[in-house]
Amino acid sequence: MELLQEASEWAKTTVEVAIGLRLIDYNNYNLLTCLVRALLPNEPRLHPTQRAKIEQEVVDFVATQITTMPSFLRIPYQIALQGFNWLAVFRYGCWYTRLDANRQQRYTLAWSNSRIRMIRDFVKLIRSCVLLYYLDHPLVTAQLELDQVRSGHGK
Amino acid sequence: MANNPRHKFTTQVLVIGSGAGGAITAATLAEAGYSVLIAEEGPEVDLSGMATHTPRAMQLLYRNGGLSPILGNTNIAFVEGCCVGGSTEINSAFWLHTPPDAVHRWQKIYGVRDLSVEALDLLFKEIEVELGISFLNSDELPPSSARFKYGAEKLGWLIEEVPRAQVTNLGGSAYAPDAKRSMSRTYIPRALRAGARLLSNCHITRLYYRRGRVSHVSGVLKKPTRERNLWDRSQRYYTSNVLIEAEFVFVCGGAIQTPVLLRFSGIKRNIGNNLCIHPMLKVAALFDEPLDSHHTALPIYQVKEFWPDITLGGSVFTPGFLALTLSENWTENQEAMRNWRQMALYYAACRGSNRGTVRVFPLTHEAVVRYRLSRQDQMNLSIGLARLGEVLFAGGARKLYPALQAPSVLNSLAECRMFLEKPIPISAMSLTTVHAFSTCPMGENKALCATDSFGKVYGFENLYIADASLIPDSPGVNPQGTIMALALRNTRHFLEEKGRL
Ligand SMILES: Cc1cc2nc3c(=O)[nH]c(=O)nc-3n(C[C@H](O)[C@H](O)[C@H](O)COP(=O)(O)OP(=O)(O)OC[C@H]3O[C@@H](n4cnc5c(N)ncnc54)[C@H](O)[C@@H]3O)c2cc1C
Repeated sequence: MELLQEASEWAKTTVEVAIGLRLIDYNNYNLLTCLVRALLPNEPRLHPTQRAKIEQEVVDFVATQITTMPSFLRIPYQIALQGFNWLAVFRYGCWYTRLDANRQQRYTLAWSNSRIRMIRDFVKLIRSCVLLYYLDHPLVTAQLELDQVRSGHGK
Repeated sequence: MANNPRHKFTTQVLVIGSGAGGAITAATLAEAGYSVLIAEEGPEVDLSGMATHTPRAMQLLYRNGGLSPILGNTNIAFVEGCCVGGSTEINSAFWLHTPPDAVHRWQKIYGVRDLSVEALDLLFKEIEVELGISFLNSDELPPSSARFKYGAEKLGWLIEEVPRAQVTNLGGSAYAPDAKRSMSRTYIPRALRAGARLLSNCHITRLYYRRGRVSHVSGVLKKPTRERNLWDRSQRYYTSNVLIEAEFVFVCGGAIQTPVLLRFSGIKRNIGNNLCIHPMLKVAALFDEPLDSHHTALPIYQVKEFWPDITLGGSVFTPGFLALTLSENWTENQEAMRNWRQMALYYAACRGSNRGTVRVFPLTHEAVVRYRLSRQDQMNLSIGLARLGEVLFAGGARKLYPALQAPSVLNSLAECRMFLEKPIPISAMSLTTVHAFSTCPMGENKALCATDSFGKVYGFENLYIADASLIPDSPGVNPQGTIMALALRNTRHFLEEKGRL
């Protein structure tokens, strides 16, 4: 009986993951990767492989943060993410995820400086997660300290 | 009844939640000989070597990963713990006694009986021994606090050092959780030693009752699997239903989750209506010399000159937290990050004068928390920012970066003083709060209160509340001490009633 219940639990979970999340979420994950790249601070400069690794961690962090939001906020937020992607079509003729890095950055900046608070808040939430994770990453903090010593800043 | 419960438990006392209120309640009851089961929604986390404010810790220890907004005329970010030990695992552990005027107000307005300042102080003293409440060694004074103190003294303003629950005065103790005496290091082990059982990852979802008696509760037990979610690679869990039968139920889920559980169970009288908070506005300050705030102990001073309406103080610092404060105007402010070693974080907090609500979102049973900043709150936060600016400029700050949409930077005292005359628009404020209470106030005034003067829910003979939600209204100080002292007082009263003391 126990085993049966466990198996059905597992089957339910698998189906849910396969159908419920995959379609929207895979798309969102891609989008988040681009957004994180656009929002990641340039400084401190890290070795490219190191930066790429941390960037991946940041994307995972942001994705988890979105999933753990209360669902009455998470669902509108995930829809807004799609809107963010698709609205780029009106401006640039293609999805946000297909834009080059420069345009992605400009488009993101336009959203973060929007006059409408809800639109600003949309970017602000992801930016906050990106900044927090990136700048509190031990490797990044160590590099920040090193840069300060090198530049003679704050001695 | 819960659907096909997989696990069934029977206990004399069920304590729901293991935070400041729950832990001390469980320990006191277990030591008095009761069989106690603690059901905690969050996981049991080994905190050794983990700084509790890092992003990883946020995902492990904080509810909703730290993203719990309070909705209203401006969004307020609310943070609470969801792990064994509750918010005491992630807090700064500052320890303040209940102000006498708050006690008198609670007696007068809410009709709280048999509550005296003297009796509370005795309970505080007892808890202080267990928590190792102490002051910082003077040689460990963080430079950011030294500047703050210097500024306040130059202005002749009242400033006080706040003691903390700490093991020893280790350098950088704020960042070494081993040095903090949270519930998982004090009252929970005490409860377990006295025979209590702890069920972590167990979310109690509903209370079942008949004729004023809770017969059992149902919940969900989460067990981590080896699988990861596809979307965010976070931990996946098996879930199974639990059913717990108990003679007495103590709900200690905190000011937000306690009303959620009670309201969802159909218990609504004066529950979730009276939410009080301490809204807080953060400010980053730039000084001439390096302060290295990320390596120092927690800032320990509070300016009390404008208390009880306004409190000024220092805040936890990491480069990430600094960036969060600057992020309101990141495009303009990101340059300031270059001087991060010369910066420190401070806050102006006010005693919220309005009342908010906690409701249950129909489909998902999550908390919907609302609080509208009142005109008084707006004034107090504006004055608070002006006064904080005065202290910091007097203490040698060069520039201030408030968490406001505009202005993004304050370069002089005159710019700060402007807020004394012209309040900051509410929509421009980016606020946080870590203090919430009063959603199930206690007292004999049945028109206002959800429980009697000792936390017993009106209309029930075996249902009690013992957490932040009981505090009748805002104490105006950091609340952990008040929560614990009231929980101890009420549990002792329970034991007395049952002839166990
Ligand atoms: C970042 C931060 C800093 C703070 N700093 C200070 C400070 O320096 N000094 C101070 O005095 N106060 C401080 N506070 C506030 C203080 O920590 C809280 O007010 C206090 O811990 C609240 O105690 P509580 O028992 O009401 O709730 P909590 O301590 O939050 O505990 C509630 C517990 O119940 C669990 N729970 C909730 N619902 C359920 C359910 N349905 N089933 C099972 N379990 C459930 C939760 O997971 C949680 O673990 C701070 C808070 C935070 C978040």
